[in-house]
Amino acid sequence: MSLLSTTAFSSAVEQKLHTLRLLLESYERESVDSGWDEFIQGLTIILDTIEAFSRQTRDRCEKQYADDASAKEQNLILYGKTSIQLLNNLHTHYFALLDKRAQEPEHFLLPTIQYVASQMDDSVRATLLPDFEYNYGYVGLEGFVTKILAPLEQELDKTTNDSWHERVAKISRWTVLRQYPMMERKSVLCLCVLAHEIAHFVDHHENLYVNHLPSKLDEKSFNDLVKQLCEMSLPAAVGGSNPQLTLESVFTQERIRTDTLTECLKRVENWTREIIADILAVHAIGPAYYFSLCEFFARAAAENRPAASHPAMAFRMNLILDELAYLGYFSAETAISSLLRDAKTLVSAEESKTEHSGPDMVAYQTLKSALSAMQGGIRIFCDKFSYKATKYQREVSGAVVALSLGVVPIEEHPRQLSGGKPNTVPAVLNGGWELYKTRYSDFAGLFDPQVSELAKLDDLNQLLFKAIESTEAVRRWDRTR
Amino acid sequence: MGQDKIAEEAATRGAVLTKQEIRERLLRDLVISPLLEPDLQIKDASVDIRLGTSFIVNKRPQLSYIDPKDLDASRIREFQQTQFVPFGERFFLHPGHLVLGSTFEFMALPKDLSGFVLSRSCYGRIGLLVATATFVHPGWQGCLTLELENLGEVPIALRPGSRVGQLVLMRATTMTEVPLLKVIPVGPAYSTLAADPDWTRLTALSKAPTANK
Repeated sequence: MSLLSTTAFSSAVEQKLHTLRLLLESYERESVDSGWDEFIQGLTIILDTIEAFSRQTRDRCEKQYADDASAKEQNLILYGKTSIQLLNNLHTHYFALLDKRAQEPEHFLLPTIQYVASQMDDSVRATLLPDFEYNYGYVGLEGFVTKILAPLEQELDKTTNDSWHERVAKISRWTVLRQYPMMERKSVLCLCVLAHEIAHFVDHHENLYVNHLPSKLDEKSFNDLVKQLCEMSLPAAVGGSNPQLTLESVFTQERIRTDTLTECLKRVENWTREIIADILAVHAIGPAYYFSLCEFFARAAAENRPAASHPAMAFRMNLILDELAYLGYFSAETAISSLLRDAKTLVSAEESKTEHSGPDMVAYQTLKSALSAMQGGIRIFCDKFSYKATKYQREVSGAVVALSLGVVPIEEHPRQLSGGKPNTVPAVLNGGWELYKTRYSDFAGLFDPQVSELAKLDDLNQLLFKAIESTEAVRRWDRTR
Repeated sequence: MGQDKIAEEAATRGAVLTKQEIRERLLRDLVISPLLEPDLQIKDASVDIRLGTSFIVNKRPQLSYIDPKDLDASRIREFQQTQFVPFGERFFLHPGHLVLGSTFEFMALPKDLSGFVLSRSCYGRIGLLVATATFVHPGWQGCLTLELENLGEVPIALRPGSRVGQLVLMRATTMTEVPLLKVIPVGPAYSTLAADPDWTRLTALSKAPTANK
């Protein structure tokens, strides 16, 4: 006999379904963008199917075990627990996303981000997710409804299975969420870092990292690490008289080698993904990505230390500056070229001082030797959208002039009365950063002296938000012709 | 600009700008951006303006009454909130409701031009009032706040991007000294009535003894 009756499980399933539906309705009322509408539709399909699963398995148990009370109870409890675990999982992992979204329902960047995603794949719904952790992130849910419901399929009747499959086919295969720190929601200058998270999706979608993962680990640093681990002394027992033990005296060298290999490979994989995302991001939006990443590191009080998930800060900045040099920003005459050249000197010196040890050293040495080939491959992939210095020279100066006059840089040539093209998103973002880095006093000088510096910066960000929203609206308008 | 042109403009100060003049000024020093359909929007003596995506709506249950004197930023947020309606979506304005919207176009008026915002008559005829505070000062820049009210009897669906109003431009009789900016609005602005310097004296009046007592 179970501690809890079968009725308790059955009632818990019904009540959870009911309360989750009510919760979903409240989020549905607040939802304004199609990315979340489809996510909510997906959750509704899951709730409907779990309800059918609960009902059908209960009916089946009643019939199948009519003469065996104990087997009936065991099976009812098993199915009841399955439903409850699924519902709890939904509540914890999926409803939490909806709740974060409800914190900041409006975002002017969304149409642009959705458009970029749709250009890659029609079956992608992209949206934004504010977070209270000071970090940017990417969550890619591919066919989440199918993944949750597939294990229930064999327990459901054909009509129910056909029904949920049919409904799932009508919603997008991908739901892509980009997390950003809630406190930066009004700063376009800071939100340029989102280019990195968009790049993670591009990498995932195009399987770039699989093709660019280094084929082998750096042999010398790996062997040194294994040797070092084998010889590592274990802590001596307090007051013990036994000879000092090493790790190798407890585990075999082969075991140590295998475990170390797994850890190093994982690190190389993580770092490779980050490197690819950095390269894609800087090619997509140019120097604005570099400046915003520096700002992010400063605001996060980041240290120049490697981590299991990311290479060290100086390594990443150096890599991004290398790409900017490749894109022509060091040799071209742009207002920010000298800033970038100076940064390169500083960052290169900083990178040489970065301390790596253990698996970090193996990952660092491995990627250092593989970097050139990796950059070459990704550059070919980026070529069709790279924001080269020549493009920057052509597009950004107009945006900077407009901003310095307190005008939203919506069109390339606002004085042109017909056929005026909207500014590109990189032109707006780089216009904002160039003004901020080189001519901010022009903009600040437009304001009454009583206006605080921070309020002026808020206004600059507002102009940039308006520019991104409006340029996208113009492009959408033109597509309707 | 040639001397003849200057003389001609001086002679017509105070006059409403016509289509040709609006086009000339747009090419020179007037910003109304973006004009999605310039040929459609620039009329004989006005420019059609479109509705933007942000609205300020009242939270009615929280609102007992409005005393303009108390309308500081924190008080306003107790009963008003912003709402974002993306392009392609609708905002339903119910009979008798007042909401604040803004123009989709960003404007920057030169120092010698002022303007008036009016409802487009075709919207007026279905009961939509677009602006009450209609004057735009010379040198003003930003997206204009629109006071949208449904004077009709049935709800009206408003779509961001629709041409709800018109801007009439006029030359000022002299060049105006434009004050430095306090803010560059890109969406509807909350009322700043509480900052009005008259309140101190108006409040004092209500406390002062009357002559007849």
